[in-house]
Amino acid sequence: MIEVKKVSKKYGRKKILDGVSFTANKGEVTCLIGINGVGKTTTLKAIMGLTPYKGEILINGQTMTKDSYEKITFIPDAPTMLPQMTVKQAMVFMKDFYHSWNQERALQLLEFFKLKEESRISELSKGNTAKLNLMLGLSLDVDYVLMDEPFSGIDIFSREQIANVFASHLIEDRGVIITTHEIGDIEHLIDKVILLDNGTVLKEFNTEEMREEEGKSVVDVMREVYQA
Amino acid sequence: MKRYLCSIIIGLVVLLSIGTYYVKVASSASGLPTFSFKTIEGSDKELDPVIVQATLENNNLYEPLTIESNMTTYGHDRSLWSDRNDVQIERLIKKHRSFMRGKDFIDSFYEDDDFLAYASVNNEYTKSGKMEAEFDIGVLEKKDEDETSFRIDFPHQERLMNMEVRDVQLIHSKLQVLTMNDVDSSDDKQTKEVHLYTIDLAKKKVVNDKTLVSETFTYPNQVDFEMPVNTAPSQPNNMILFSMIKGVNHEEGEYEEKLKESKLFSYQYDTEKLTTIKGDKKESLNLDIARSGYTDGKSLYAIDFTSGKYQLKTFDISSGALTNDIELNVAVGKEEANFVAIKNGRVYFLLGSGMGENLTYEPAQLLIADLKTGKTLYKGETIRHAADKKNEQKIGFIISTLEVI
Amino acid sequence: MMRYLKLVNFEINRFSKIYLTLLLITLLSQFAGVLIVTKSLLNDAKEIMLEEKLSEVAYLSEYGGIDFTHIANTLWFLGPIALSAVALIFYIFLIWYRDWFGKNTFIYRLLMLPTSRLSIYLSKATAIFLMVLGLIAWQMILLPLENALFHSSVPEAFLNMEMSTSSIAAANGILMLIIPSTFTQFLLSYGIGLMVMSILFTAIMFERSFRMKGILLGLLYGGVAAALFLTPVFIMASEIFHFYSNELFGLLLTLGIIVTGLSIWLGSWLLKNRVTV
Repeated sequence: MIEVKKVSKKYGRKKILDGVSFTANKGEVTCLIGINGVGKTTTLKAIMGLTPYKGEILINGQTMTKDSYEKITFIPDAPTMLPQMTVKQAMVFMKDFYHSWNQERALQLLEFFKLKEESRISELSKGNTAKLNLMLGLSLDVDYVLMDEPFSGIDIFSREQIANVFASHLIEDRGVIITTHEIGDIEHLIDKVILLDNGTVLKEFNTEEMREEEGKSVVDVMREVYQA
Repeated sequence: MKRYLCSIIIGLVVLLSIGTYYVKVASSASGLPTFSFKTIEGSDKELDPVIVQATLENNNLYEPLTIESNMTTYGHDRSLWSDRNDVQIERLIKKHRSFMRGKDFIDSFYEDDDFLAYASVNNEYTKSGKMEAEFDIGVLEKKDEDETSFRIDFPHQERLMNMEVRDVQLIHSKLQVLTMNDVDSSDDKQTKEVHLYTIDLAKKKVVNDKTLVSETFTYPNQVDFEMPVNTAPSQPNNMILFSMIKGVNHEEGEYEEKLKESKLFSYQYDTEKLTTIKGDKKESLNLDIARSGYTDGKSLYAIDFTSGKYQLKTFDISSGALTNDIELNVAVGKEEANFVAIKNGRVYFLLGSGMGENLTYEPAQLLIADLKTGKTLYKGETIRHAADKKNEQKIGFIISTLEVI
Repeated sequence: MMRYLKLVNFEINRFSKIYLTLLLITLLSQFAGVLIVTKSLLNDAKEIMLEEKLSEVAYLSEYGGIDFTHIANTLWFLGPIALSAVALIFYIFLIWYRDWFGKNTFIYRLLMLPTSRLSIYLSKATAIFLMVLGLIAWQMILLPLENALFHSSVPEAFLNMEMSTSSIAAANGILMLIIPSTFTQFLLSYGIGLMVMSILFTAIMFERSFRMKGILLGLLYGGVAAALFLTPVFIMASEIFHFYSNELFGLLLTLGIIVTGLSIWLGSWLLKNRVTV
């Protein structure tokens, strides 16, 4: 379980996060929703130890250490490998540094996304870059995967492909935290929704319960909350 | 492995190349010749206090070297972080490390059985261009290592621009500081003075400022004060010799001394008597002799070559009379560079600089003789031990100083 | 430890193209310099001999011959050294900033590696230091070769003297700076270099952590570190206290180690706890 407890973050005088608390479980897809600039990405960076914050974040009951990076991974919406590298070199790099690298699954994902090993990263399209990012992140045997806007600016076919990954065995029983401002493609995959606005959690709910008890979809709730 | 090739190559090249380079540097340094004295007569023991500083010119590199206790040490063998002081300062530092901090000019010291005293002048120019000067005084009571130091304003500093301490004596708890001063003047006239300041240590005050000699001149004339080499500058001396050399700068830039107008003075601290030494009697102390001589405060020793032999003449300073005349037992060729030290009741005489004609090596001769009897205690010459015969020809060697502990 | 070495290797490979170019420029420029300068010096000599109707012996006694110092003082020779120095100083900054800027944000990957941030900090420092030493080593290899080439292209009569590699290095101010004449001096010079680099790295970490405010903090830190290191020198200069050379050396060595250690600790602490991606 990832526990985010009263996390606050300021850039200069501007409060990005103001006492954000939520939990995300293994085996579930948790979605951080909010319009742009409400602190979704900052929350993920804080969990990954990529930015300082106030408050506490625990992963399986423990604070982040260097070894945690074998257990949790982050897939940002920009390439994290050098542009001059080929896909193969990027894979070798990952294998070199991570014990949790799963070469077999990497090859499966490569096949799944139809990426070529010899392609240079700088020459990949936006969609293929996102796929490569996803491939590199998902090939680690980690407990949690954090994804930042995996669908933004990507063509419809790539989106479909990425969405299919969520439904497949490639995600398995991992915990996923995903940020997005467009819920459409993956609404049916989401277990839990955290609605963020102005750096605070507006609403946190279980999608299934919401549907069963109140008969509302995620988009319905969003409309209620943001247009109020 | 291929991925690591670049780093491995760089690592290996760094280790091998830099390693080889410095191993070679070290071995070529150990390939330098060493120098020592070959005994011709007398006991090697006499060499113990002898320190000869020289320079080796090897392949366009100048390496300072020291022959001490008959062993050669090169400058590069000495650690980077050792002070290089003369032997007398070094001896004082060993005994009184704390007191000696920042004090390195031997003429500024006075030492007897009970006290070690120090006087120097600090001057600095303020932003407005004005000079501010003060005496820096230190006294160490040896028995209980009791240190007193203080600074006092230099008297009449507004009229001076440069002052140099040349002798310090402690007489009846008062420090006598002899300085040579340049007077600041706004016109063409220049004035040089010899002053004696009396400093009361208890009151921390300059109680007397006595001008011993003052001389004003205008360019192209020139006046300089000189003192004979003091063989024991820190020892208690009752007498001091100094000369005033007059000269003129010719238009072509040549400088000519006017010895007839120049003077030799002696000053006696206890009687406070300043005497001009005429030196008109035959075989008596005169300006010429004093300028080339070595003094210990009582006598003046001078090497004389006029008779075609090396002779050491001793003069009594107070009477000016020749009191001793010994012949030095060294082979006489042409008159060569020589180095003299008077110490331990002996005269140390080093003839030749190690460099002969055509820049080739030529042994320098060392003679150690009893100061009174002239008896030869040691005689020897430098000998070169070439570690690397191959480039022997290209190595130049020249002696620069002779020191005796 | 293995990951640290892998990171060092990775950093070196990243710079390898520019690095190889620097090595090549040095090689070509210096060798070309030996040939071109030697030829022009000899031509000048011939011209003067013709004009003034001097024999070779007369010319040499009047004007003197040539030696390697004539080569070592030219732009052909010193230019590539200066270029390499500037490139590596520049790379001290670039090695960090290139991970942050541009389309690809490699810093994400770097900071998410299952290795301590100290390793990341040290691997970058090691890479630069190793490359600096590599350039020095390269110059040490080239010098005797250039010297040999010079000898073979100058007629014996015109040669002032045969110089050894170490005397060439000692005769030129810039060469003496990069190739100190004893190993102890070498260790001290490059030790100071290491300290300066660690201070710069830490200043960069301040900037990366606190941005605009960090630039001020970085400059402040650099000033404080320099002041701390030079305290004994200031004390001596202001005549408050006099240190003997061995004491001064001991103090500077101790303070140097403290400043370097402090910089590395602070830099890697900032990278771990304060840096924002």
